[in-house]
Amino acid sequence: MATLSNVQPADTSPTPRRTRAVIQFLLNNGIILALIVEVLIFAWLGKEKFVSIDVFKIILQNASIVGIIMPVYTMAMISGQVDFSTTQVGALAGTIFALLLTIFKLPWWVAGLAAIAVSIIVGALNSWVIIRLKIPSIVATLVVGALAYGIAYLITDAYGNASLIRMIVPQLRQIWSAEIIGIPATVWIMIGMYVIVYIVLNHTKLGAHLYALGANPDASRRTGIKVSHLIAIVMMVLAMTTGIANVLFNARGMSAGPNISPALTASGAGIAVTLVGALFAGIGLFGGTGRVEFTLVGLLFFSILLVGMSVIDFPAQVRVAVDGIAIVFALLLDSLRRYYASR
Amino acid sequence: MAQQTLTDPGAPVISERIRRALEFLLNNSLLFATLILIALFAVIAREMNFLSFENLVNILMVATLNGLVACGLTITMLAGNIDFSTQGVSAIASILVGVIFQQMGLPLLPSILLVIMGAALAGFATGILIVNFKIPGLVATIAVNGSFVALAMFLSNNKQINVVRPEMTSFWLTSSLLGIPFTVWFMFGCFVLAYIMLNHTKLGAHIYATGANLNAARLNGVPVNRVIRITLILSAICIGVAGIVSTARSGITILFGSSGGLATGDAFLAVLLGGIALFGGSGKIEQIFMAIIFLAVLFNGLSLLALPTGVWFAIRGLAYLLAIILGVARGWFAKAKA
Repeated sequence: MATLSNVQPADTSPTPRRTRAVIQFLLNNGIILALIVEVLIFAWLGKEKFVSIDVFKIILQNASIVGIIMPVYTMAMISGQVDFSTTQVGALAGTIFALLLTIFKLPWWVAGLAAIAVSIIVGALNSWVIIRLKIPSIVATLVVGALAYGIAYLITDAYGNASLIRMIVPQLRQIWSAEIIGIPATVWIMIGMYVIVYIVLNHTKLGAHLYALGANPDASRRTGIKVSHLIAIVMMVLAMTTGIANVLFNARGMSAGPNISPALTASGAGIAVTLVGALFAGIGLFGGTGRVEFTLVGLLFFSILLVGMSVIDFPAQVRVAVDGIAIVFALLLDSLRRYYASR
Repeated sequence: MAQQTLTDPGAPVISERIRRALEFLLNNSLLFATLILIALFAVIAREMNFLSFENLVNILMVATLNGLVACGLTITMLAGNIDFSTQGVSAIASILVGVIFQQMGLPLLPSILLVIMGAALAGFATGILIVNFKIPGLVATIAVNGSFVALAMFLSNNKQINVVRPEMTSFWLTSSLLGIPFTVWFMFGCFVLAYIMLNHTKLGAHIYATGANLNAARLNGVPVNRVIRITLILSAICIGVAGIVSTARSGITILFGSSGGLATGDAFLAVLLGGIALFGGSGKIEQIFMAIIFLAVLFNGLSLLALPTGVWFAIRGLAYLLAIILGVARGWFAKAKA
């Protein structure tokens, strides 16, 4: 580990204060710099194929579905909860939506409300297992996620085809293609979610309590914060936004099923796409720290990577490799930052 | 992690004898559950020859892959890390079998050794991230997983390789003792070795100490960094062997594009069922073995009955729920005892 051991402690040989400030600034804003470098590289490689309004729109639209979930997911991670059930909860909500819309021929808003209701119930189940059974959130959400996945499979087995329910409803596509001031509607929803979560985290009592809960659950309990209420709220809101985002995603593909959920990276859904993005943006796994606006940059980074590599037509193994290297690199950056912060 | 440590409203009061009986049942719950399940399937799936020797061997074969993965996972989890890089490491092992054994045509044993060394290197790389860069094991292993898959894709030039040389299959699958294939014996051997290592060696004691309290262990002179590195390498070796076996069985490398490889899911389920604490330090490996057999019997019975996939996944979800409820019950009894 050459890089870390070569840096000498501050008291033995004082690094010039200015140098340290520069290093700290670079580390703190590493993700923004990475984004700029990434855009420059793609612009250089792809020329006008990459630098166009259409590609810009695709990048935003691609990011928007995971981007609706991401701010709330960040909120959950800041309060110390890791959710491994986003993929499964979203799939269940989408399946319920498709079932009610196409098999039972209910109006779209009834189907939508039912899907949201189901995801809130799953979120409530998550928080019940975490709070009442006192199971750490990683395991609790894995378990509840497995159940939700099973139920989605049961539904598509009974009513669908090849674990899919198709929705041949052309109006659904309009949600996706609708634009306000030239920017897709789903992108506006994403921006709205980020603004709301930013305000909640930075300018309300609830936000302060969430940070406190993540930093030290015991201490916050003793200071009178209603810990179980907070966890229940966070998990239910997270499940709800996951459900909404997945229904929007299913509307684009006009099909829903247990295996259909948005992906953020080239290597696919993985364990939790949102987790990767949040970690990339330097949100600690154990809560209490992190800034939600950084996850937007992290999200855009991955979206640009995904779209850019497919526009320039990289081979599949290169895409997966670049993804993997980016994630590991982000972790190393985070590790360095913590090292500097502790000095 | 917000661990829930709400104070309990007083330990429950129950009579000594009932408590002991319940405790005995809980401690051996997996054994009883497996026996009940076997009896159940023997009746329901009678026409499908559930109790035939071939089917029982089949159950053990299914248990082998998950068993190997779970064996490694148990060791890493006891030391306080979780290894979620199963897909990547097994993909590397599988592709290495294709490249070294099939394409380069090395003899059987040297190529197996080389593949295992490759897997061990992968575990060593994960160890560097966890120990030197102080990245939590869960995050580090998820992160390297993608990189390992990419590496495997590069090694094979993103193509599947047919492993047609017969020695690999005959070594792992056809050669048998008492009618049971060598692979199954190998899995048994792994568990026995792991049992001896965990319970009767200094390394085992160090693993438990590291998982129970990293800082306390370090202050007491346990070489925690080395222990964590060793557990990750052992885990990668176990996963690597599982990758070799599954390649030998299917006769083709097991990575398709960026998907494929072995999954952590069922092994993780078994580890939870067997009662390994999520953040390390407690749990018994013999329970994991029982859990693996239990799951193999369950899934074999379900597939014999030809139930639809939906029911299959739903039952898996219920098994997960059962696992954590068992865990809660164990904790409850431990508290009642204290």
